[in-house]
Amino acid sequence: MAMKILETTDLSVDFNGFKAISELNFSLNQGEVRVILGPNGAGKTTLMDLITGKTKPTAGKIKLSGTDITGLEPYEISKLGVGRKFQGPNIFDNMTVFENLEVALQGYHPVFKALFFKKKKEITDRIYDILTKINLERKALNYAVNLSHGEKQWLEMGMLLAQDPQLIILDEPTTGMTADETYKTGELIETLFKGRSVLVIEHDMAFVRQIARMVTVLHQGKFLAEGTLEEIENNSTVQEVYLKEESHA
Amino acid sequence: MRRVATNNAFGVLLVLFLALFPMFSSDFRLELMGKFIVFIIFAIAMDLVWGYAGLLSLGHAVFFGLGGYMLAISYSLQNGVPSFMTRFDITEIPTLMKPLQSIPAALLIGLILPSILAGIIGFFIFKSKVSGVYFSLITLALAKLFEMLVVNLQMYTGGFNGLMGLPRFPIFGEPMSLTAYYYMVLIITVLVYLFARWLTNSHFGKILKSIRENESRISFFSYNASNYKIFIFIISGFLSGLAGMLYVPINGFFSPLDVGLNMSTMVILWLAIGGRGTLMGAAVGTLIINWMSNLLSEQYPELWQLFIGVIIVMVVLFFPDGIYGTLKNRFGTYFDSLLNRKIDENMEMEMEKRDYANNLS
Repeated sequence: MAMKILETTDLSVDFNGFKAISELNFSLNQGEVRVILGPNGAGKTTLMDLITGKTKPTAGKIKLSGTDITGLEPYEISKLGVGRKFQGPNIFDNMTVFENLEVALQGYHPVFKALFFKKKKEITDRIYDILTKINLERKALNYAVNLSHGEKQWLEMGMLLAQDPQLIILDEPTTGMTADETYKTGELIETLFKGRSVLVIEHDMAFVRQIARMVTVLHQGKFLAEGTLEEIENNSTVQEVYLKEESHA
Repeated sequence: MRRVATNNAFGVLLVLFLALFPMFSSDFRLELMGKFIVFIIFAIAMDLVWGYAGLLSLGHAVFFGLGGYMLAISYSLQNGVPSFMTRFDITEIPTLMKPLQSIPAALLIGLILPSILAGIIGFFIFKSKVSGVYFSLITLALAKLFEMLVVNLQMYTGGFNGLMGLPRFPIFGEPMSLTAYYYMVLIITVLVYLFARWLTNSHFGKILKSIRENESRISFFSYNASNYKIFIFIISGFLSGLAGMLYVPINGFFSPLDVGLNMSTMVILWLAIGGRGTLMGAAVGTLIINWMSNLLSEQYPELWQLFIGVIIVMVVLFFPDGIYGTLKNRFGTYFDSLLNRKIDENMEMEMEKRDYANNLS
């Protein structure tokens, strides 16, 4: 049995009577890349919010490598090794690319540690290393607001690399990217995030095929199906849900 | 790097000018300049909170006033029970005010009390996640509250009339000369500036900026934003109290106008005109606005406020980054391109070295 990095038991959240997630039992193994699928309103982003502490569950438990993290604040959860990339770029606009990576570094979060933090050569080197990996070394001193959409997405991936978390949560990482950039993002996930556990929400099926071994499908806040991509594609309930969704659209 | 380069050139010139100022100015102008230099400290304190952490405090003069009143009351107590107290039949100095009889103690209290108050206010506001316009409104109410408190506690504070006829510069017992006091203030201001620059260039300063840019994001990188905000609020309260205290002897007068909404909005104005988030902009804005107000009011006693108003509107409309901010952006691009080219060269050399190493192996 592989170690479980993430486990939710009977997880529920209620927004004024609307059950965005109800009694969800979900688990992710150490080192696994998992894609979450589901039609609009299935509760995918809400699940991410619950895991990272942005939203507090109304019932149920979340465990990270066996530690109970239910109800903790985002800064406490990220200290335990959870990194998140948001849907659409969520970066620090009026700061340079270099500074963006600098603030993402782990381990300098107490106020006094941050005050007397000396930027050693290893750290500068590490940031330049990340800059090369995300192809932004020539824009290190540009303000992040002036980057293109794709570059901003890459920068946020770079910030995750700087943060160096055990569990990486990616919420539609390829939105606004060209097919080529999307493919490169997939490669990045496979190489740079190798050995880490990754949870991805994605709609781009080519991308899902590229990265995923296992897929979990949610529907109206509930667990619907889990399996390899072929199994899911041939699953009749999943087909039904998606077809219904399309006839609505 | 670029910022250090431009800031240094400009800052050194400015300090040189201010250091030479006593040689060619009248005592009257020197006194004004001394006052404005004190205001720079206050503007820097405000810049740390507003320009760097993005917290628009509309009541920062509370800390300035608290520091100032501690010293002003201490001065009033030097010759026994002051007249504003005897008028209310107080024949003995109240126990709570006894420590203020000693000027050194008052100096210490004037620094510690604003810091503690800032800490308490910061703790309650930031721990309960109040932010944005609600933060501004709460601080606005605090400024009004403090102003009313000072006015209403007339028997202890001199009330609306303020504390008048304060002695000139007896900081260390013996009265100092105006020039000596001027240089002392200048040195303290330079030290405050250097401290603030160290603070904002540190990792801590970068986290502050990222709180300003995107507070919700930084908490997903393990940073507890409220601790950072409380800390910078305390530092800012401390520096504001320091400015308030240095202001008292050079002004010779301290009144509720210096603690409430009036002063709180003035400092915001100086920063907006100078350019927030640059530190040097705090100095530029403070000096320009104050000198302009003074010179224009001498020339056009009836119309000067109109002129100032027009100038302020023009700057805010056409130079939203402020005077110094705009200059920095213009010249900055030049330095930027130089520096980026250098980084490119470094990267290329690095790549070549790697390629070479790969070929060898």
